[in-house]
Amino acid sequence: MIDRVTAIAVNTFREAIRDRILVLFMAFALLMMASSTILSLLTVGSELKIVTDLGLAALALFGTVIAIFIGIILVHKEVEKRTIYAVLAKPVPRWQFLVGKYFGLMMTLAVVVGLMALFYLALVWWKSGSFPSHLLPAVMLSYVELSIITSVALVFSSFTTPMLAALFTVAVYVVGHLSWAFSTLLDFVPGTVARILVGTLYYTLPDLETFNVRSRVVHELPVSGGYLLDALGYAAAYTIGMLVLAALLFRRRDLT
Amino acid sequence: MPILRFDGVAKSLPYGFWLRHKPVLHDVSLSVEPGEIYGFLGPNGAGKTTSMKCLLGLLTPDRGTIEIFGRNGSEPAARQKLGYLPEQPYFYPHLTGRELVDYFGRLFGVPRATRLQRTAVLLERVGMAASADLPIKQYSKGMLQRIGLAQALINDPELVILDEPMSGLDPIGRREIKDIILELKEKGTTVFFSSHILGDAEVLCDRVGLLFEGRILTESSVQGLLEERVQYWDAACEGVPDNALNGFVHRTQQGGCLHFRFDDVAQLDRWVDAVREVGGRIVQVAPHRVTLEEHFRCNSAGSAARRGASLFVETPAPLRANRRRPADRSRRLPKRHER
Repeated sequence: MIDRVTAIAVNTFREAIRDRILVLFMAFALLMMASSTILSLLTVGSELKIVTDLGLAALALFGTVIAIFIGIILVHKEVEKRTIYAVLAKPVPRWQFLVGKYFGLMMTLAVVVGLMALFYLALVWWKSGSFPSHLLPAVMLSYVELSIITSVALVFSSFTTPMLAALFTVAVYVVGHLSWAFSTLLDFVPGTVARILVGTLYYTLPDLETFNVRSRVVHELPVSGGYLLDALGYAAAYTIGMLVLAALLFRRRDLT
Repeated sequence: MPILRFDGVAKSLPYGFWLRHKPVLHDVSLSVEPGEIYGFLGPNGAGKTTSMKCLLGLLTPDRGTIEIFGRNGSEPAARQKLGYLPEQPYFYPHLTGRELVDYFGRLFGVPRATRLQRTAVLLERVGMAASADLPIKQYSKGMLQRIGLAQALINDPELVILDEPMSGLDPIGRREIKDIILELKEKGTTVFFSSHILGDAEVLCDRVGLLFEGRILTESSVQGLLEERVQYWDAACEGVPDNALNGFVHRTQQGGCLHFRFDDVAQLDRWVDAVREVGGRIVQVAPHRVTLEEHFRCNSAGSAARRGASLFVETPAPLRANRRRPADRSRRLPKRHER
């Protein structure tokens, strides 16, 4: 089982890194980080903060764009291009195919985020004169957030077209960053139905703000190990839930 | 025990904006015995690919069961000893031919050393050794078909499913694929292949199943199918006195030769006796068999006639009258579950 999942993951990874579009995205991300050094000239006294802030934002933004861009076509492309036929004609259960695709994209993202992070940390190191180890939790949590976004994209990719999947995934991403608003809303909405609706949304949509510690690390506030572990656990549980959902949706789907 | 068995498989697929379901397979029952080459024949749109997708678990049948090696076809484990070549092979364009075959080998759990060795042998066998390290996006159709065949054999399968293996190939390519199929049979591998090119099936198959409009019309040995279908007899004689064979309607006279055509063997027997009686010499007695192609056309035309449509070009009247007969006969053939 592990070997099959690994084989599918490696193939997905190969496909992504042999695609020029990924290089293009990476180039944009690095360009945005580099341009932050020029932008920082416009400020007085807080050049380092601009570089740190913009760099982290670029890393999170481009990571998300790549996760969504590849995630939404992850399964759909295989069905559309009919490459899935030869794969599922082998003794490969469908859920293993999905898990393999998921980990393939996570491997790709690890390389992309890793390269962006190296460039970013080197840039900040050069600007500040000391290694910015306090930024590592933010970089790590950005990657962990991508694991959730990828799993959501996979769910949508397993039953709908890339266009709709992109729309839904972006919606989940945006609402996921605002999910704290639902908990506030819960105290104010009148009526049971509305409360159930808001409550359901609050508990089913991912709370992506958990993974946003950018403003804290930029101000050099500590992020505790316990917090990191909690966030990791939450991401793992949510991702597993999404993978199970994707597998259930894909299990009996007719591949015409 | 059959290595592959379809039992009353029915499937409808959605079409159009409202995704209405249109039946594609009505009642497909067939069985493939170990070691044989089974031709799954039918015109385009008969449901061959849909049947194969059901067999591979890509589609779930609405009714009926499919068994592979005695196991339910929907279980992935049932496909461990199965090789599959998709119709117009669609493979990952970013991989090289060698990487593709190796990848599929991994999906079967073939150990690395065996995989490498088998990949090299297979690439050589399908004539792709020289192009094995080129990306698949640069392959021609014939090369795709060859690499497709190599990947279908990477797990040393006992049952090979080939969907239109010879479509789009030049005569040399077709010959090579035929040779590989025959080689597989020699090794004891069962081959189940679909085709609408009936000539290939006549040459290769032990048995054929004829699929038309989602139903199996006939399932029999190719030989049996051909023997069954003597359409008419052409006979010729010479040295017969004038008016001696007036009881028989002769078709043509060429030189001193009289040519006759008989619908049944009893009539032919009477003619032979009559020729001998009058001291004539029989020059020719030749059965005219229905080729699978004609057999198909009969069934298609029969079905079209039932729908009040005409699918095929008109054929000369006496031939058309004769051709209807095998069609009627085949329609009378009992379905598998009725036998």
